[in-house]
Amino acid sequence: MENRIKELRAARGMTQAELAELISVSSRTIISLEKGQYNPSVLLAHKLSLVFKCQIEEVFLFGKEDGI
Amino acid sequence: MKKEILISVAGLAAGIVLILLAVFVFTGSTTLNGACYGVGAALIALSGGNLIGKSVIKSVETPEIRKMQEIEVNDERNIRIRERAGWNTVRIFTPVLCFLTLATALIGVELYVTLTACGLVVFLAALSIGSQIYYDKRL
Repeated sequence: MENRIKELRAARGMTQAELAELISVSSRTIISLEKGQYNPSVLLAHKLSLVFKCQIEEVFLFGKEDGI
Repeated sequence: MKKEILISVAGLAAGIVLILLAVFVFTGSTTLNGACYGVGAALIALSGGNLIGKSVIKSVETPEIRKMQEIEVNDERNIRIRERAGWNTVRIFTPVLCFLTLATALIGVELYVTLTACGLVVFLAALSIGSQIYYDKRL
């Protein structure tokens, strides 16, 4: 599953550490998410969408490979 | 936290009791004496180390460090890593244990060693089935 976390974070002028602190995860989690190495839980996806003030579908790009 | 300290204190006390048993009571039996020394020393080292570690952390802990610790413990990626690492360890350890059990039976070591190894395999299988039933009901 691809995501736009890096793009949305950069657009808001946030660092990885700042984003990590906002959603109470480690910076390594943000790095992994941005690299697409790791798919977050629904709760974390929701927290990210709240921080970026947009829908989950705008942060995470669901494709055919995800069975959707 | 209090529960963890209580467990460590209990472990330390049990270790001291085992060492005392080895020194004063089981002086005749070498097997029992050795087992008491071994398990006692391991319990003292683990529990004592845990207690010392906690007291050191407590003496230098600040709200920021505590928050960072909480994040590290509750971080979902870390939780997933721990789960996967645990699962992988068991996945590798199970056939190794089965092989060792078979080897002890084939090379003709003392029967109690083979039976202990068999017991471990059975315990591991029972634990695996029990965990599956537990999580099947919970999740």
